[in-house]
Parts: sequence; C-alpha cells; structure tokens
Amino acid sequence: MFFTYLRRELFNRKRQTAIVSLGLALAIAVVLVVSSLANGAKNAQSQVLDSLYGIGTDITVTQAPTPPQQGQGGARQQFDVPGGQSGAAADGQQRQVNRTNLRTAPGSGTLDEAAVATVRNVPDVAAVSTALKLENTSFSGELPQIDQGQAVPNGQGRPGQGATQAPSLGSSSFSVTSFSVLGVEPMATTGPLSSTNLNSGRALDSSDAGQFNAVIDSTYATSESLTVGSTLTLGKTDGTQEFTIVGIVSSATAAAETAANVYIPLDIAQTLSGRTGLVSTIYVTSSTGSSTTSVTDEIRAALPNATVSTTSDLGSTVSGSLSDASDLLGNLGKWLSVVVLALAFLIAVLFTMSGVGRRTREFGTLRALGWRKNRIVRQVASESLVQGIFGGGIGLLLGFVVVKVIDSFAPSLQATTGGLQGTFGGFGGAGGPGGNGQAQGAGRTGSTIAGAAQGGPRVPGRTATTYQVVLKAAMTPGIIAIAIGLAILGGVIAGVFGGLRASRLRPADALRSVA
Amino acid sequence: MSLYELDSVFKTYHQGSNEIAALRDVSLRIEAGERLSIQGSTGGGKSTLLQLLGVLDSPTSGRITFDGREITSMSENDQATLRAQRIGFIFQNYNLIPTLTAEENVECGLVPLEMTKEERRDAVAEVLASVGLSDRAHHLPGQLSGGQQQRVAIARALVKKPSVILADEPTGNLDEETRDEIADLIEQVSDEQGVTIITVTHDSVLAKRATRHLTIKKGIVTES
Repeated sequence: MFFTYLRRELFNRKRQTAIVSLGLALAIAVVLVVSSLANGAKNAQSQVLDSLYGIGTDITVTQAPTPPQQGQGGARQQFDVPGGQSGAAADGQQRQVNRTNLRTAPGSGTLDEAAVATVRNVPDVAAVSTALKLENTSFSGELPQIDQGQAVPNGQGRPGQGATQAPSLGSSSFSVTSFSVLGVEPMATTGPLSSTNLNSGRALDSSDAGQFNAVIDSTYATSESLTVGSTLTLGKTDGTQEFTIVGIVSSATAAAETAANVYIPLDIAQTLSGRTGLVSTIYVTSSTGSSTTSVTDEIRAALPNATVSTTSDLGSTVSGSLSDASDLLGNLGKWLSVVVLALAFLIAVLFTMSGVGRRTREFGTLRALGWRKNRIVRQVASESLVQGIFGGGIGLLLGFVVVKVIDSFAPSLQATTGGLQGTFGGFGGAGGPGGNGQAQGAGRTGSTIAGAAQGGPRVPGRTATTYQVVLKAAMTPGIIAIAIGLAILGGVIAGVFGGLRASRLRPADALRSVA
Repeated sequence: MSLYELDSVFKTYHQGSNEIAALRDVSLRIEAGERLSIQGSTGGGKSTLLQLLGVLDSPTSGRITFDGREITSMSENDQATLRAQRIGFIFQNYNLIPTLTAEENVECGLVPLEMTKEERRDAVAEVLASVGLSDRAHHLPGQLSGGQQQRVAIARALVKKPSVILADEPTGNLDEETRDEIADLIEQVSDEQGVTIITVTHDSVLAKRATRHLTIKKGIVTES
C-alpha cells in the first residue's frame, strides 16, 4: 500500500512533482556543470604545473638566490675575455669573441647535499628527486678593443633589472643565444621529466650517469633542427662540451613545452657548471595526500631559509584566462550554485508544505482511519524524497548534456607561469661596453639576441611562459555523488518540513471543515 | 457495560479572547447495536460530540469510556489503534483519497491492522461486493457518482468490521433515491453485523430511521 499510495500521489499530482523535480534538477545541473568546469580548470592548472614540476610532485624546495653584496653585480652574465685583449677601444680596432657559459639559472639559488638528505629523512616522504637549473648562454661576435684604463665598471644590474643602462663605449656586432638546461636524476619518478612523453629515441636512464648524453624538448628540437643522434654544445667552466642527443620529449599535458629545453644527467650538470653537490630544486612526493601539510611543515622547520612550496602555492603562480576562469568558477560559480540550490530547496519545501495544506482533509481522514502520525509523515517524506531523486536524475542528465556541449566547444584558455622558478627578470644590466642595446624578450625556449645594438648586450629578460590549455569539464564520480546527494538532501529537507506540518495536524482540526 | 459512557463532558473552544462552549455537561450512555441519530442546529455541538465519540478529540473536562476503557487518558498511538480496530467513519463529503482507486481507498481502512496483503485483498473484495461495487473496484473516486463514492466510504468503514460507525451527514450530498439506498445499506449492516450506528444529520427522514434520537442545542444534549 505504501508504494501504491506513493506512486499514485507522484503520478496523479504531476504538476507538483514536475515543479519540485525540475527545480531540483536545474539546481543539480548547475552544481554539476560548475563543479565539473571548476574541476576541469583545476586539472588544467595541474597539467601546467605538472609540466613544470612533474606529475605527482606535492612539494618543491628551492633556495632564493643570495642577494648580491654591495658593489657586486649579482648574477650578471659575464663572458671572460682572454687577457691582453681587454683595454680601451681603439679606433677601428675590433676583436672576435666566442664564449659559451653554463651557469645556474638566473634567480635560482642552490641547495647542498645536506639539505637534500634532510628532506629525504622527513617522515612521510615517499619520493624525492633533485634537479639543477642551468642556463647555457653563447656569446658570439665582435667587440671593440677597450683600454684597461677605462675598464668598464662592474655591472650594476641584478636579475630582474634588464633595463639597466650601460655606458656607450662604441659599436659592436654580436649575438647571444641562450637556452635552459636541467640537470636531472635519470629514472627519477618525480620531477619535471616524469610529466613528459618520449617522442623519439630514449629517455635518460641509470647508464647515462656520468655520460654526456642529453634529452631535449620537442619544441626546442624543432626550432634548432635537432634530432636524435645530433650533437649539442654546452658550456663548461673551462670551455665547451659536446653532448649526444639520445631522446626527444614533449609535455604529456596540453601545455606546449616541457620544463626546460635540454635535460642532462645531474652529475654532469653539476660538474660542468662548477656546482658539485648542489641542486636548485628538490621535488618531494608525500606518502599520502593528507600528509602533505605535515611534510611541508617539517621541511620548513628543518630548512628555514629554503622556499617550500605546495601545489596550491604553485597553483597561485598560474595566471591568465585559465586562472580567471578558475577564480570565476571557484567564487561566482560556487555562490551561484549555493543560491540556485537554496532556491530549489525553498521551492521544494514550499510546494511540499503547500501540498500538505491542500491534503489536510486527506490526512485527517487517514488519522480517523487509525493511521499513526509516523506513517503519514513517512508517506509525505517519501514523496519528497522520490521527487528529489527524480530531480537528481534529470539534473544529472541535464548537467551531462551541458558539459558535453561545453566540451564540444573546447574553450581554449591561456595559462601564464613564471617559468622554472617564478618570473625572472633580465640578467641584469651589462656592465660591459654600453650602447643603446635593445634587449629582446625571450620565452622559455632558447633565445637569441641579435647583435644589432650599437654597443654591449643586454641579455634578455626571462619572461613568463604562456600555455594554451583546452578547458575540459571533468565530471568525476565524486561530483556526481555530491549532486545526487544534494538532490536527495533537497527531497529530505522538503519531506521533513512537509512531514512536520502533516504531523502537527490534529485529526479533529483536519476534519473540522467536513464535520 | 455500555459501549460508550460519557460523564459530565464539557468541550470549549477559544476564538481569540472568546470562549465558546461546544458541549456542556453531557452525560450519556450508548449501547452496542443501537442506531442513534443526533440532530441539531448548525454550531450546536453535534459534530463536536461525534469527534469526541470517534476519539478524534479530547473533552475539556469530563470522562468518556469506550467498551469500559477510559479513552481520554489513552496515548495518541492507543487512540489510533482504537480507531483502526473498532470505529468506522462515514463523512458527508465521502473523504476518499482522490488518487487511489475504490479498492485502494477501502484498503486504507485496513492498513493500520496487522494483515497480510492477501488478507486485505480478500476483505476488500468481499466488502465491495457487499455494497455492490465489485465492478467499480479499479475506478478513481472522480470516475464514480456521489452515491457510488459514499458506498466506497461505507465499504471503507465496514471493512475492518468495527463496533461502531460514526456517520456525519452521510446522505447530505445525495438525492432522495440515493439517500434511501444508502440508509438501507447502513441499516442492513447494523442488523447483520450488530454494528452500532451513530448518525449526525439534518435530514429528518434519515433521523427517523434510527432507533434512538438525540437533539443537541447550544451544547446541551437532550433525548427526544
């Protein structure tokens, strides 16, 4: 009888059932779409971050660069000129300079082995890998002879001050080429290489330790016409070193590029750059998601001078329309969902209570027939619950269709990151021979400065990197469960209010209009 | 022992600051198997008396017993059980559930009782046959005439085999011919099953068919 009565009430009072169910369905659809898009935006941000920091990295540990001492030029790029060739510019006298430097990436400090060991020993750390970020810069061209008595003041610039003016000391013709190099632990399960796909050749493995083998990014390979088997020249402390390209990788995500142009074994990177035992980033994976906070706190306590960033910290470094969309979905979307849900719940409650009001005589009659109060409350609450389930089902379908429609448009969003480690400025004003050098900003792919300047170079600022990311709504089982749960909750709330009203009806009052 | 015993029953209602005495010092005995009619002007208290007898309301003061049991001190659930097992109701407007068929409406009278689905189905079929509505079992109330609806309501009251049927203007919405059919049916049930019938009515013809007559005026009950 319970189910018969329930079915008859729902299908013979179609208007109320339809209004309550559709109200809840609309709310559930909004929640589904907003949540799925927000989840999609979060995934897109994760993709961008994964391309930079590697899949599964929960925490990164870096070291801020040591501030330059007073009177020092900081991390300016410096090309040593062979003795005897420096000096005052002599009219018409030029000299040819070709130099390649492999140095720590600007804006990047280093951590020693003790710091790495400290991180490895933190409880709940599941995996640790390290990398050394380097910048390979080649200078090639002619410079004017400079008299030693007019030595160029040491560079005043600092990273991020690419616009520093340098004195004009004459004309020159040169080019500066730079690209990023990442020394990585071969076979590391975390870190930037974990988020790459192998396009050709092979990945770095344990046999590459101590070998001059390199893996390069596919975008960089294309721009430089490099293939597997080609050689690549990197600088070192006392000259250059040729590397064999053993593989070409691309980002495993929608992001266009990987974390660096060139990947070489960490030990080689340390040796060539003169940074033996030093790394610039420690990538940490915690044993469980819930332990990330405690691991972060432990590392911060153990390495107070280091910069310890979680994925949420790193996420805040992603800007652009993707970030805007994420913020919009996170804030406006959340409140829109709350408002629509509240309205749907209100409609369900009001219609249910109104329905109980219209059925006063019916419930009074049932009480007269000996039905207990609880049975009537259960009947009313069940009707609302089923309406909620109907609403949840319809909302699920509606939300699914809307999500599919949005996905079919595949909206493209921009995500801007600060590159390997935040946004870098220039290498600092060159202290060398000056002129009105025009620095040309370069992205993360290798950069080349044409030596068209009337004077010394201003090495390019390392600008932020922009990724095009397709926003794809991510409807997870969790989101679906929450949506259905909300629909049922709406039905339960309406049922509780309706049931309470029904339970308060005294049989005599319910029948008074009849008697 | 009488079926009903009412001793000095008062019932007052409050409308704002006004106190309305619906029943004043009513003392009454009703025996099992009686056919009792209650007449009186509108607002005189007859419906209030019927609700007290049906355990739908409680007196402001006084004592009411049903088959020797004090009903005014019963819990709400015990009162519901008493109504479910012993008391049948027939209303002027039939009070059928509009979304349920005739047989489902009748079955509603058995829902509170501990019966199997088959037992309920058999009992419903039997009582519908007794009121001549076997062929209308699957019709909704809206598909039945007024007389047929009242027959369904009578079947719903009878299906539990009650000790008493409280009828509130049972023929108020029916034409004379149908009224007589319904009155005949109620009398037949009373005679065959020994059910006590208490009918509140304005209809003198219907009232005269009762074996005992009460009149209620301004809350005071008199035997006529």
